[in-house]
Amino acid sequence: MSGPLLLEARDLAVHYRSPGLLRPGPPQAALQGVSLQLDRGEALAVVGESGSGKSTLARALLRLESISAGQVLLRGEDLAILSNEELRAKRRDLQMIFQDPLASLDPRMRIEQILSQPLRVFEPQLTAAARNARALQALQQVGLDASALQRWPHQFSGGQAQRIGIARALLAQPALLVCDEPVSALDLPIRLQVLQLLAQQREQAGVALLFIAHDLAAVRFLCERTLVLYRGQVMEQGPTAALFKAPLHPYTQTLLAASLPADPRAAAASRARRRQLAVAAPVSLPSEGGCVFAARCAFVQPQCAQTPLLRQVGEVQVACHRAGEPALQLRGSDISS
Amino acid sequence: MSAMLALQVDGLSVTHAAADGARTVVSGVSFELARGRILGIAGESGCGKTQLLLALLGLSPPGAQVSGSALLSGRQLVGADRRVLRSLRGNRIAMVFQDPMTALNPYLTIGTQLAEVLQVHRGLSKSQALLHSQHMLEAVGIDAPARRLRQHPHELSGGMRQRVLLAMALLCEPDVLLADEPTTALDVTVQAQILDLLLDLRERLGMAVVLVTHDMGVLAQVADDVAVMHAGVLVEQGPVQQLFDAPQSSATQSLLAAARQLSPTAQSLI
Repeated sequence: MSGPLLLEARDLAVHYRSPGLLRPGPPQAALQGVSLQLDRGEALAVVGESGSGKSTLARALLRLESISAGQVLLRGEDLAILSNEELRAKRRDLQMIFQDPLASLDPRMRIEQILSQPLRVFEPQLTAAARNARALQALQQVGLDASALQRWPHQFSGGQAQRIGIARALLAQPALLVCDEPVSALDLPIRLQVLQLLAQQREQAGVALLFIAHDLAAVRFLCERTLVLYRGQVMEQGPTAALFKAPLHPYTQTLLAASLPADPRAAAASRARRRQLAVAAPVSLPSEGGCVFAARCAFVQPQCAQTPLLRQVGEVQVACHRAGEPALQLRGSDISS
Repeated sequence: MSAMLALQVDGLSVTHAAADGARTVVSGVSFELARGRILGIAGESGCGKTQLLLALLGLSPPGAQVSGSALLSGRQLVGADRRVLRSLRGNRIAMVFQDPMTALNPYLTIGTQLAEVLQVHRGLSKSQALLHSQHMLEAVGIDAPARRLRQHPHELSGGMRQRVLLAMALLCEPDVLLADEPTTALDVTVQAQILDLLLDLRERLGMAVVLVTHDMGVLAQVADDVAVMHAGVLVEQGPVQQLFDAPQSSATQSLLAAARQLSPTAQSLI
């Protein structure tokens, strides 16, 4: 691919200071040393449990969160040094859809107004008629029709509201769509429809996706690369297929073992796998430094008191001293068998 | 052998009064549940799953008409006196809700909320009730249970709060536990832990469980039998394996098709 990458993060860190009027607490790292790359039209998943820093990462990439270290480059340009004015122009390229589809639509605006908002901002030269035509076209792209334009957000179901959120994001013609748990509030069949819609938009509009999820199934469906976060640090990253087939990091293994197969025959094996990965008694390691996953890891050893660095093992990068050892080898295919 | 049945529901219907006439949200639902079994009820949102559970508890909204029969270990729940229902709820039939935060009182300590159940239903003193509560917290896998009793709900994580609710529901060792999407709001890892715990407790306590969910992965993991609900009607029910292998109704087929396409082991689109 010629030219700089669409989006690149280098050694990103975000610290929060715990509130306290007289004695502010020490800064807590919500994100530490995270690097990622995303090219045009690619789909990258960021997975992890709540509190792992997924949403912080998304917000930091969009500069909705101040960064304490590292860089975010959009087409090679450092977003941190842009003025607010310049940043606003860049925001067109970076659109976001949110977890709670209804909460992200203004309840006092008709859908027509909601959809024409990005056009007013990014294409002020358009006439009202042209705006309406574009809004209608965007609605049709997400499988809704003109009757939706004059209605209010509360008149739509969660799945429909999420479609409207997607239509609004696409109207800005972004290069990257950041999706923060876009389907976790939706019923399964609706979830599938919205995922199919995202896949289809990616193909047609060539928009890249940064897909944040705790649901590994959705990730498998949509993204060719996956990054696994735990406590703000990257545990493992690489091609989704490789990660799911042979997860190397015990945390990735734990996430996969918790992902329940829709097959009663696989239930016993799935449960056995979780028992195998469960920690009998938490190991006490020095509180400072060391592997952040150690306390929950079934394979912990004295060397885990040293912070493991991301290293290449086969197709993936993994931050675990023991990754690749036979004792840790749990193949994803066993989970389903 | 009907004496063995924890729950026997026959032709249960719930009708809500609406501005434009009555609306039937649960229609002629029948099922049987033996002790120690887990029945999963699946269906999309709005299909009447939650209304069914609320009717079993006698907690249908004001103005709702409930008809048919629901026997809890042989005792009729439909049309039962409010005092009778109150003595059964939390005692012989208990419920775990989807949102563990709103189901707990933010102003009271965990200990006070747990102990109250035993003080009311078992007539225990507060200190006896607290001791028993502490054991139950331990049983649902909460560490440092004595300290937890003195904490407030906001001091616990979501998974921990759901364990507290489960402990609360189990304090009186109910015949039937109703669980409405008990793990939907949780991380997948915590969800798996809670479901594994539910299976363990079912084995140890022998209670019957009705688990409402739209997640076919959850059903495959824990249910013995599955009933699929669509527009207030149970369209299909049977042993879990049979239902997954040969779904008869289109509602079941569409739930399964979506679940399989979205399975972590499915073929991806790309």
